Amino acid sequence: MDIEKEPVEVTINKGGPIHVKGHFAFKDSSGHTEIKEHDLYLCRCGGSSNKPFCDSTHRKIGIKE
Amino acid sequence: MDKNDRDYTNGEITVFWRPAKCIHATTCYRELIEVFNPRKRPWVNMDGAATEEIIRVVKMCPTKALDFAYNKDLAAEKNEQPKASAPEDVPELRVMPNGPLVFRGDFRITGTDGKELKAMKIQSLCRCGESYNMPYCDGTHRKTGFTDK
Repeated sequence: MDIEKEPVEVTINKGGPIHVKGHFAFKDSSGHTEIKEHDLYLCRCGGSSNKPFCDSTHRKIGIKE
Repeated sequence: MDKNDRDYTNGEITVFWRPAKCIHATTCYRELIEVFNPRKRPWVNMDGAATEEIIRVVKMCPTKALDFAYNKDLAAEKNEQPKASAPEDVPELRVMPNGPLVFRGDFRITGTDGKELKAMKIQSLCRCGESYNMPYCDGTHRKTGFTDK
């Protein structure tokens, strides 16, 4: 069972969302957990209408960094 | 260990309370009354705030009357069991209600400058867009009233 595991890659995009790529458990704000195998783009500007996911609102309102 | 010492946990971290060291600086309850309320029993409510908020305030204690450790580390100290591929081996990303993104486990996080963030067991990243310490959470979401809506 000793599989060499790669860390889950997280990229904080300048002026944009957080991109998470890999195999990980995702627990949403209601406490529901599921295993994600596909990429997620998570809102970092606080303005998305589809939180916690990015809906490109950052292009309108900008992000500090 | 003193008989008045207490430990409080939320499953993620354990906060140690060593009353003999307390000089009543009042920092803890002025910063986070939701967790540290001397009028309540027990006076520490670990469900009152997100882990990183609790850690932030515990670290402010001037005498270490309040201290903390990650439960994972405590468990590792107790029994040096080699970790099997248990569910907790899977890195976990939690979306804290009205709060930050909490990355626990084996995540490799690259910042906006293309450099890798220091590897930590737990990392809290800002989700409200208002942190003064981007990309990290600094608790500003509580002041600005950030919500999931």
